[in-house]
Formats: sequence, C-alpha cells, structure tokens
Amino acid sequence: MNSASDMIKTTAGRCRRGARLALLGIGALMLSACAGTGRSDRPAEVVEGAVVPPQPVRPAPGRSPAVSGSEAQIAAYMPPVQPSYARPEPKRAVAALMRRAEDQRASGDLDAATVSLERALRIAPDEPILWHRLAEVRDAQHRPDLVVQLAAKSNALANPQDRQLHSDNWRLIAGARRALGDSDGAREAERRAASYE
Amino acid sequence: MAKKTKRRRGGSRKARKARPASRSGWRLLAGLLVLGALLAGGYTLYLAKTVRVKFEGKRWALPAQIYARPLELYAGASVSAAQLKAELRFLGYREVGKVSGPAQWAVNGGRFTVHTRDFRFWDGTEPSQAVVVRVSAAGVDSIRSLPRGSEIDLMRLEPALVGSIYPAHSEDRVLVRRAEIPDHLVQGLLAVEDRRFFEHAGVDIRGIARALLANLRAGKTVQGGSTLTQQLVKNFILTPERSLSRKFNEAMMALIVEARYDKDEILEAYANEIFLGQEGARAIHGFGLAAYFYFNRPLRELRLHETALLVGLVKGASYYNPRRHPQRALQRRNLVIDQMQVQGFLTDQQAEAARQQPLGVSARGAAHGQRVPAFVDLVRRQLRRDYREEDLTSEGMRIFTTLDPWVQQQAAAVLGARLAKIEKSRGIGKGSLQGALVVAAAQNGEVQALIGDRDADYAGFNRALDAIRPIGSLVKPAVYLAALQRPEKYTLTSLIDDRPVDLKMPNGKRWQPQNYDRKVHGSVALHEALARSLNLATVNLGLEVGLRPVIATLHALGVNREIDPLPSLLLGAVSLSPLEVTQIYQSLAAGGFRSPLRAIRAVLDNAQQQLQRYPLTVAEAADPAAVFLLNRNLVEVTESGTAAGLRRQLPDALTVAGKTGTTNDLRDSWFAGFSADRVAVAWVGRDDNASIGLTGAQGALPVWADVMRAIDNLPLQLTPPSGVEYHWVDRRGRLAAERCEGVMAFPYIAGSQPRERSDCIKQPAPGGFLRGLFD
Repeated sequence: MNSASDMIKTTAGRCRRGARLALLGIGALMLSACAGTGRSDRPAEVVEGAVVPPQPVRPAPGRSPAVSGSEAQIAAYMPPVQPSYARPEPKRAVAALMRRAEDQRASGDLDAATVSLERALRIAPDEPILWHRLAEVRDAQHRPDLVVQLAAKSNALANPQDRQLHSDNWRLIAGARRALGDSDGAREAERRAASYE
Repeated sequence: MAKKTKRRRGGSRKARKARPASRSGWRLLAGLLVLGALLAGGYTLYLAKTVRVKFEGKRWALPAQIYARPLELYAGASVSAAQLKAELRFLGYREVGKVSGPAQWAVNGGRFTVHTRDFRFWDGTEPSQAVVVRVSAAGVDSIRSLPRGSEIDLMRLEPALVGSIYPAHSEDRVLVRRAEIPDHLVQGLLAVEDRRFFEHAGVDIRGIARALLANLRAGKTVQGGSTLTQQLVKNFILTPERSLSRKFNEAMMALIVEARYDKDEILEAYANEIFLGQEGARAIHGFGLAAYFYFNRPLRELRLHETALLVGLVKGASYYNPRRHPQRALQRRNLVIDQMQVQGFLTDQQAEAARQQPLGVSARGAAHGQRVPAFVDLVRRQLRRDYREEDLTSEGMRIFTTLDPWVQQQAAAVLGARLAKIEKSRGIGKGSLQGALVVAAAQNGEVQALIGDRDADYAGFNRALDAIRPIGSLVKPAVYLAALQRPEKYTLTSLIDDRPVDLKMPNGKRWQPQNYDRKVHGSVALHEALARSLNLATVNLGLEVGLRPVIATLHALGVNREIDPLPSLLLGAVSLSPLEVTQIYQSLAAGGFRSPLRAIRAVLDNAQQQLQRYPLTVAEAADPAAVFLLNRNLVEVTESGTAAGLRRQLPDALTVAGKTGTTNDLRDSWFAGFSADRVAVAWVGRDDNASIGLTGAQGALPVWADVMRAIDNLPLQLTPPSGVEYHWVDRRGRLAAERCEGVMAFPYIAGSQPRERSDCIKQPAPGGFLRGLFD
C-alpha cells in the first residue's frame, strides 16, 4: 500500500475525468491544467523518494510503542486508500448537467445555469470544476460576495497540481474583491493567480 | 368565515320580521308586504353574493404543499434496490406484473421497469416516461428509456408530498379540477347521493319524496333527500344547527347556485369541499386530498373500488372510517358498488370484481399527511421569515424541500428502536429516554432528515430545534481549531499540558474541572488530547489560545448565539440545539466552508411561478488547511479515541470523523460526526434534564452509528488541500525520517513542521528532501 502514489492516482483520476469531460467539450480547462503540469502521465516517478510517504508503520515487536501505539491511530492520518468512488462515477449525469448549464449560460439564462450547477454539485460535491463554474455564473450575475467564496471552495478542493484552475479561481477572486472595493485584496489575489501560471 | 355567517344569520332574522303582523290595517299590511319583498329581495341578493364569493373569489384556503426532494437517478447514483422500492411506494406507484401506464413499476432481480408521472419542477417539467433502471449492490448501473433503449444521462422521479401547512381552522385539501375527477366517482355520487343531479334545479322534490318514502318504509333514515348542490351549500354555511331557517337558506342558495353555475362547476366545487376524514386536528376536505390520505395517490389514478369507498365516506367519514372500522367501511363501499350496478353504471361483472377487492387503504402514517412533523416544523419556521402565515395556509404554494424521505425513514426507525434497546440493556425506565437526530448533506448543508422525538410521528416538542442543551465535549474541536489556525504555535504533534486547573470564577467560586478518568496525564500531544477528550489539556490549551478566539471560531462555524467568555465554555458549558450543533459540524465536514443549513430549495405559487429560491452559498469559516488537520484528528477519535466503539458498529471501509459529548452528571449524551457526504448529530437525554447515566459513547453514539449504517455513505476522503505537507516525526514530536524507529507521518501546515530533529537524523537533510508534495 503506497499511499502517496494513491494520492497521485487521485490526481490522475481527476485529470482523467477532466479528459473525459473535455471529450464532451466542457472540461478543456481541466485538461489543459493536467497537460500543463505534465505530471499526469508519469505520476509514480514524481513521488518516488521526493516526499514523505505517510505509510502506516508497524512498531517492531518488542520495541516501545510509537506515539500512541495503535495502528488505528496511525491510519487516521493516512490519505484515503480507496478510489474516490467505490461505485460507478456519476460522470454522465454531471457532464450532462454541466452541458446544460453551459447552454443556459450561453443563452443568458443565468438563474437556470445556477440551478443546473447546484444540481450537479449535489451529485458530485467534491468536483472543483463545478464550484468554479458556479463562481463564474455568479460573477456574470454580479454577485462578487458569492464569487469570492465559491472560488475559494473550488481552490480548496482542487488538486494542488491543477495550476490552471487555481489561477482561474484567483482571477475570479481578484475581480470580485475589486468589485467589493477591496483593492489590496484584489492585488494579492492577482499575485496568487500569477504564481500559478 | 365566522363573520360572514353572523351576517347571514342577521339577514335571516330580518326576513322573519317581515312576516305580516295581525290586527293591522290594509295599508300597513301592504307596506309591510312591500318592505318584506324588498327585504327578501335584498336577502336573496345577499345570498347570491355569498355564493359568488365562495365560487369566484378565493373559494378555498389552499394550504401550502410540502414536497420532499426528488430522487435523482443516474448511472452511479447510490440508490439500492430496497431504497428504490421504498421511493416508488412513497409516490404511490403501483407494483404490477407488466407496466402499462404512468405510476406503475415492475421489478425482476435488479431490473426495474418504471413508468413515471410527469411533474412540473421549479426549473422545468420532467416528462412522464418509461425506463429500465438496473440496480446492483454498487447502486444504479444504467438507465435506459423504453421502448428504444437509449441510455438516459439522468432523470428525477417526482417528489413525494409529505405534508401541508393548513390554517388554524384545520381544513386541509388538495385541489382537483373537474377533468381530474374520474367518471366512476361521479357515477358513484349519482348512484347513492343524488340520482337526478344532472336534471334538477338544485332542489329535488322527487328525490325528497322518494327518500321520505324509503325512510318511512325502513322505519329509520336510510336515504337523504339533499341534492349534491344542497350538500355543497351546507358546507358554505358553517353552523351545525338544524333549523327550518337553515333549511330554507340551503334551498335558496342551492337554487341560486344552480341558476348561476353549470353542473360541472358545481361538481368540481363539491368534490373539493366535502368532508371526508379527520386526523387529529386536521380535517380532510375534498376527494383530492382524500385520495392521498387513504390511498397515497392522486385521485385520477384511483380504481373503481377505491373511489367507491370515498363516495361511501360522504355519508359519515368518521362512522365509516376505513382504518378504524374496516368492516363497516367495506360494507358501505360494497353498497355503493351495488347501487352503481342497480342503476346501470356497472355491469354485473365489473361490480362483482370490484366487490372482491380488499379495501386497499394505505397504512396510517405512510399516507400523505404530517408524517414528518419535526421537519415540517423546521420548514414552517424557515418560511415564516419570508412569508405571512396566512399566505402559507391559503395561497396554495408549493414548497420544495430538502427532505430525503428514505434517510428520514431510516432515522425515524433507528432512534426509537435504539433508545428502547439501551433502556432494556441498562435497566433504565422504559420510555424515559428522549432523543433527537439531524442528518444533513455535508457539502451543501441541505437538511435530509430531522427527528424531534423518539416517536417520530408525534408532533409534539421538537427536540431537534428546541432542546437547547449544554454540548459538552462537542465544543472541543472549536478549541483545537482555534489553536491549529495558529500553525506557528500549534500543530497536531505540539505537546500541551494536561495538568490540574484551578480558576477563580467571576462569581467567586472556584472552578476545578477534572478529566473523565480523574487522572492527570502530564505532557501530551495535541492530537492525543483531542482523541482522548482530555478536559485538563483542553482547558489549558484554550486558556493559552484565549477564550475570544475560541468564541470567534464557534461563531465562524455557524453559532449565532451569544457565548459568555467563561473558561467553562472550553468544556462545553454552552447550550445549543441539535440543529445548531449540526451547523458547526457541517462547516467542518465541508472542509471549513459553512453552508447555512437549509430545509427549502424553492417556493412556487399556485400558478407554478417561482416565488423564491434558496440558493447554495458557502462561506469560508476557517482555514481549510487547519480544518484538514482537525478533521484527521476527528478521524482518530473514531478509530482509537473516545469513539473507537464506532469501529465495531460501522463497516470497515466507512471512514468517519466525529466527537462524543457528555455533560455534567451524565445528563446529555451527544455524538456529532460526518462521512464524506453526510453530517449527522444525535442527542439523547431526558426532558426533565435528570441524569441518564450515559456518556456520549454509550447513548448518542450507537444511535448515530445505527443511522449511518442504515443509509448509504461515502467514506471520508480528506485529500490534503494546498499548503499541507506530511512529515515523519518521532514520538517526542521531533522531525525524523521514515527509516527511523517508532515514527509516524503527520500532516502539517507548510512551514509548521517541528524544527527540532530526532537523534535518528544527525545530518541536516539535503535541500528539498523534506519538502512536501503539496506546497
């Protein structure tokens, strides 16, 4: 069980999902993020020896116990080992709702687009792209208060290697902060956005 | 209503005065006659106006209807076969051998054939369609449309109607249009109530004569002579008195009604007005609601023997109550069928087949009604912020809520059952424990289930909202989060002091809290102090961090109450309702992003126009990196800490985070926690606030485990956000390496990892060696 590589697998999974969505013409953003980092191709090589892999450690027999001894306690700090969905991924449903939201946004029905995205988020609440899209629609609706929070939520869920997504979220935040009259905050957000490019 | 009745009675007195007095001259008599004619004319006009108001104005106060969430079906949906069956039953769909029309389903192994009803949502109409849904242990595998077999991305079943908000005078109804009234219902009414309905002018002299004759022959009242029109206007006049003047008024109004409106309009009004049942204070009016009340399906879907029962109830809804007096009701129903047969509405064959059917009345509680009183209470309170009570009870609004009827059903079942079990095994007085349970969606704060009483059907004190109790150790995560948000000072492996506390309180008393085991543990790692719920370590940490930051953290996590800055707050001397606690843990479950708990998604008016939508909002309540560390710590609680008992009660793969809570003298037993997709809070205690002798792990925890086991959950994933790194540390919390002995990897906010090095790594590490993956 190599958990660090599992983490990377999760990243790769997100990128694969992005690639699939891209085939549907909606996940291009995500795909470009994955392609840009160039990591999704060879995940295992990136991690080997470069980070501290949080593997479970069994204390050798006869030795004094580790910090609080039990294996269970150690496992509590492990990144997840099971794939993110133990059941078939709801990719068709989410992709369909994202498409619908795109169409609704394109035709100017922003309220309907938010409803579709919220519906998608009930199905895949940990999908950072959906939170990002919702932030974009709220931006188009001139709701900077919501944009700041939704984009931050997207960032919190986004894989750290989705640099493009982080950057785009920070740009949304920058614009929203400016609209809220927080020009210092806006500059800081722009700086963060640039740091991901 | 009452006012109008009074005026009407006043009117009738005037009419009586208009009778000629004796011993008066011709002139006087003529004058009185003229006056009488005027008064009678005026009175007639007045009655006509009453009738018009009833018919054309706001005819009925239409209670707001409350819907559950619609079930979303798509490949990958976590819906089991058992759940899908239950959901189809909630909707009153009929299980059949072969599906031939809407509202029917059939199942063969994991292959469901479902023909849905169409339904108008706030964001568009979901058309009626026939589909094949394949369900396996993993959930929904595929959905294909019939007959073509093309794959469907996603679909929604209509939402179940779970309640209504009816006015103080308690008339509840679901409006039906004339076109929705089945022919066999009309025929049944004609057969037993008013044969000549389509011929008479409101009053049926022949009918009265026939009824009189029949009653004389039988020696008792077997037939009524009232026409449907007269029965209808009888309901317009609410007084129960049986006087001649009332009879006269009825007849007058019936004639006016007939003169003004056509038979279809009258029939429609009748079908919506007639009284057909009673449940507690709630009066069931009209066939539309009665169809749901007795059969849990819309009127247009009722079959002959079912409408015959409803027709039978017109004569006496309580006397023939099919749930209380099934035998009586069956006889009455069959009498209606007989009459329909005699009068040629049914062939002998049809009648015989209908008589062979069982009553088919749905179980009480399963029927459309107030089966979720605590949740409806929450909906009502949230609505009251935006709407006037009178609009809620009269405007026919449609409220789309977040209630998950499946989760609600499981939660209702486990709470009562578990409390009974605990009482039995621990020798606690039967029925003395009470409880509350809240389940919400972790990421968006939608309330999925709410139980306010161990008897979930009981609409009494709603403990989920109104039992404001000290939260005990449930407060501790806020203390640790306040600390972890200062990474330069606190990490999971920081050593904190579990030493005695002796404080002088503002009231002059001394405060000397103790650990649950009454021991002092000395220097302990921060994560361990939380996992073991050490009181002394927590108080020392909280005092060091400061009460104000802890209070600020609680407010950020969603507590709206004022909190006194007293040290006892650090051990949970702050009183909250289970719902408020759920808000705190929702913020944690969502990685530090608070979504206000919502029970409502949208409100539509009677004409299907959207009045309001309650959108998804999030607010960053705490640094997501610090919340990640805390949540990992709360997983430790459930794996090796005070809630380790959970592991025996949940599937191995279901990783959860949570915290036990126990208050002084074991008065309150709490458990709050979350999986990847649900946050739930359980409270167990007594209404008189006496000790129950149970810790959080002994009372609320098993309730919580029961409900989480009964419903589908995704294991907690907790992928580290940006700015979190893992580092190896030794047991003294010093930086180490994987090759060292007895070391563990812990997550740190970048830069906060320990500076001090373990003896095991003498040389400074080469640059970047210990740099985390996620910086």
